[in-house]
Amino acid sequence: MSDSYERLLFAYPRRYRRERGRELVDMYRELTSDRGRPRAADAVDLIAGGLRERLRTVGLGGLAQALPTAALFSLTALSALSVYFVVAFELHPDTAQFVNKAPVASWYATAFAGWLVTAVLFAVAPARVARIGAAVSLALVIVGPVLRLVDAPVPDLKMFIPFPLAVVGAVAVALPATASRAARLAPIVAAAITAVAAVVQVPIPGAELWFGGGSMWDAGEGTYGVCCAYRLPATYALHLAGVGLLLAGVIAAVLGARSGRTRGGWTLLILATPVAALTSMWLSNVEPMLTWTSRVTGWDEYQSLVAGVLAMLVTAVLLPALISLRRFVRRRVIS
Amino acid sequence: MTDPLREPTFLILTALAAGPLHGYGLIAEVDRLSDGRVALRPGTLYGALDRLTDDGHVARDREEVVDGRLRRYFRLTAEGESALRAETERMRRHVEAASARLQRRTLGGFAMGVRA
Repeated sequence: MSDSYERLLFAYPRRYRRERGRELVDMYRELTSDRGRPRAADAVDLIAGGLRERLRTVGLGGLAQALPTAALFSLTALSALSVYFVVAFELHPDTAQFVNKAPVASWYATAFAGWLVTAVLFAVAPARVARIGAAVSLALVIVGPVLRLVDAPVPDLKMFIPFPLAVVGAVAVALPATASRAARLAPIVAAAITAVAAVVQVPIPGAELWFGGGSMWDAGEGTYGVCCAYRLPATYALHLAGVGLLLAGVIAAVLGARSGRTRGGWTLLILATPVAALTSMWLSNVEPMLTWTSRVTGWDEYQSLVAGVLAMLVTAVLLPALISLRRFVRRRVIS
Repeated sequence: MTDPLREPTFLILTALAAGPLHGYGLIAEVDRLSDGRVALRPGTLYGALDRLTDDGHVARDREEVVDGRLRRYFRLTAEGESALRAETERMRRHVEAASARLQRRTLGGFAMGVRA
């Protein structure tokens, strides 16, 4: 049995495995009374533990601490987005009829339903159940492009819609195990506020829509997944969600810093990646991204995708690397 | 001010306040302290212990081999003790505030019941 547990230590750094691996495996042996093979929860525990250890080793341990808060913010954004997309497109008779002559406009209606169910689960059920809901919703988004690749007869969307949804959805899977009542209700409240805004058709400031009836709530036929400007209804909703997440992250960082706490800063660092994905359409239209993305691809559909990936390389790789390097240099100077 | 301690961290430090414990002992003690609500797994426990060691709240105590199995003991440091005291004080203030308000609420309800 210990061999099975030893294999699950692969996520830990080699040095840690050498120093502590035996101890960890022995403890599992003791806990399971030397019976049975590792369960799925044991595998998740050891793999997540290994990844946390790798982050800690390079001075980024705060990321693991802040991930649950970032996940809560992400699910809140996805709940609001889901209501918007369902009301304005998926169930809107004009859009659904125009695109497919079907009751919903695209496959992604399943994912939007999934995130709304997850918001309810997070409010009323154990976090473990809500995490499963978030993981299923993420899987539904990822299945979309696969169905398109195999030419399945399923209504589809251009990639710049599911791409940011998948990035935000990936963060949302790490929902916190324990949360205050207010935090548990946040996603469902965001969904309810969006639903009310849809009913009263709140004018969205800053939206200069180029298609449809001139309102975010009455997007008009044929505007779902149309490329390539961030002020189009569907992409503008993603853009607003990105701005909202950025504001939430900045507020968390500032409030935390004022109290001498660092977790808010790490939350902002994590949220920077979903924000980059959500604002990728806008990014693809500003310099120098416009020039770079035009060089990489001449396809409109993929231009914002490339912009998003480049921005995510900065937020998810370059920024953490710089923070890690700074800590390393400081440690060397002190020692 | 530092971040408030998370519940598992608080329980680990509380468990170590009574004396050094090894990993398995810590898991059992945290389970007992939380009435079975917080069930730590080894990967999570060691992540927390490493973080607490980095913060200076916990230190390695000794090692022993029992029935061919390695047991490494951890102990609470002076810094860990003051962090636990600060957190306990913070929680105590919250409990006192909540108790006072609940008591006022009960008395208010009782007074209204008497008037009715």
